[in-house]
Amino acid sequence: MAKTLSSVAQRRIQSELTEWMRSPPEGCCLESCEPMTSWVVVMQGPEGHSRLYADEVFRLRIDFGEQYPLDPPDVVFLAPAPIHPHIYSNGHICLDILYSGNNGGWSPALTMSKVVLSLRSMLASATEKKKPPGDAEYCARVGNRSPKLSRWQFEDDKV
Amino acid sequence: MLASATAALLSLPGTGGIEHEGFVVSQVGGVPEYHWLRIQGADPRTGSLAAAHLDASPSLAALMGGPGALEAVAGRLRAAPSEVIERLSYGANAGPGPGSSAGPARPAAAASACVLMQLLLRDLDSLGWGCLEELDQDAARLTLAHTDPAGRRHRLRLTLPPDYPASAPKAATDLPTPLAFAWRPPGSGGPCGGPGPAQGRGQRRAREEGPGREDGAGSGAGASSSLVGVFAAFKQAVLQLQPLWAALEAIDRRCRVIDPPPSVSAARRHLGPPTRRLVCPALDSCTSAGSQGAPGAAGGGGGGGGGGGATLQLRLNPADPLGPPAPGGAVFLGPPEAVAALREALFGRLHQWSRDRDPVDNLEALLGQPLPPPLGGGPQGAQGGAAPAGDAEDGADALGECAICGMYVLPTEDGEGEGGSEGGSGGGADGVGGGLVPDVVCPTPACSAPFHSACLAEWLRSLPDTRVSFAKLFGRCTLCGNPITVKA
Repeated sequence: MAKTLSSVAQRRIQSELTEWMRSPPEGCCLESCEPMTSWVVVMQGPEGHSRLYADEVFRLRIDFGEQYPLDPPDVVFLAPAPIHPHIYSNGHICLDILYSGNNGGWSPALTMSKVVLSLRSMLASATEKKKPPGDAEYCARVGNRSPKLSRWQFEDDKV
Repeated sequence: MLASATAALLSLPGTGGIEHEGFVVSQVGGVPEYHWLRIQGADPRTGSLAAAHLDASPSLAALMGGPGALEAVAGRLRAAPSEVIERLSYGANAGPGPGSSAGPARPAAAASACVLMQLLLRDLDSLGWGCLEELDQDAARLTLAHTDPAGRRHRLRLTLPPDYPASAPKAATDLPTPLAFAWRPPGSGGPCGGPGPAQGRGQRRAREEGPGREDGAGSGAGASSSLVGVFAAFKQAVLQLQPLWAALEAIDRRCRVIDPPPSVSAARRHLGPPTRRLVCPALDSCTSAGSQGAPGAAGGGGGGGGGGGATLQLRLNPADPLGPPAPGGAVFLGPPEAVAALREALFGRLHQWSRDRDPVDNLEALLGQPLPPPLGGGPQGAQGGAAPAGDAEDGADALGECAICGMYVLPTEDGEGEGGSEGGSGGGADGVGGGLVPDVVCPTPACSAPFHSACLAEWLRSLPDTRVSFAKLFGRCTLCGNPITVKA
């Protein structure tokens, strides 16, 4: 998929890539950034208090749109996604900073390093491994479409 | 006639070295036919094919025109570099463009694909396969590489149109001037078409195209009718740009260059546009007043000769790299007090610029001050002694990339109008050869994130809770979340 990117998006992604190479976020490494608009990140499960995910390795896909960084990128876990109250089986993640709009928390000041670290700390603070309510129904309904098309409710401040 | 062929080779470690064995599929008149093929004796360690032996089924030998042809192919194989097998597995795959589509058009397309492959192979044979860096699967795009006398590597990316060689290939390079060449289809009469539709890098100025085009056309020595000619024109263009890169390298060696940042390796520095942003020396008249202007610029005052945070954006003319900077080719950035003295010194004495000195000598002579040397490994780096490694980090932070787009200079499409407004030292963005620099700072002191007003306005406009009043946007800083305003 050859997307045309604005030069702003291109240079911003390039500079994030350079910064990532210089100091990668803890426990994460970049598996692929070809094409530049689609990254695959490998994430070692965090230790945390509960060590729920400590021995697991997850993969994340980050797809940048041409409006990046004004629009957040699509961020999903590749199968098998972690079992977590805020992560659906199809990889969609319920985390406000990944989405813009009325209740979203995306800011162009966020970089992919920071996003990946937030996801890791979200895993680290989980207290039990369980799927979100209505997981099967949600996955059957949305399938593999972009998570940005879903309407998210961000309620739980604890995890 | 071998209309098109697909090869599948399997590599096996054999007794006498690596053995490649597989099939070649030919399509004559739409009927696929399989022919056995084996390459023996590739050196297992180096992959060298010098002692290789080629066997093929009689049907393939017959198809190629007898055993003599097979021997010729084997000879070519032995002379080829070791990676040729990999390349062949791509190249041989180059079928007709519409391989998967319509049936009736196929024989004609297949015939032209065959002609194309023959032309390509002939051209690559005379250029030497060593310069082929990449060949796309459909053989419509290829990348040729050339290393110039100074060891810099240059790439020529060619796109062959569907009706090649009747129309010219498209050439894309990373040279600062567009590559121009005249194209004469092989077998036709006089030259036609004029300069090929060459493209340089994206945002080349029309002004720079003039000399570049003349040079290119002049060097072509008549029209090219094969890739060999185009590659020769490319090498000629590279040769003519040597003085430019030599001058840029001298700047990198002797000055504190912050854009492109020092982290860009020496092997890649010639690939960007011919511009450099340098830290300026502090002139006497501005040392006392300089540091209050830009937020955070105070770091430049300490020992290292930061010039009150002033920098010079210098663009060399590719056709005349040693000449005085063209209008807009030298722009001082920074606090107005620091910039005024520098501007006066340089432009007031611009007539003293001499083509017998390199640009660094010229700048030092005109400014009457040595330029700050590079941090760290520079030849004079030890002399100052007051620039520890941490200072480099501070310097980079003080300049402040925009917190939204991550750049310092934001290119604009209509850059021409900005260059003339050097006198206006108000709050607005300075033009830098067609770009904007950050001109809004978050008012929360602990945050002080810099923004291009254009980036910030675009972001705030996209939010539902931004208020607009008297042509000002009221929103929140992307970093700290505290209120910030920007002109709409």
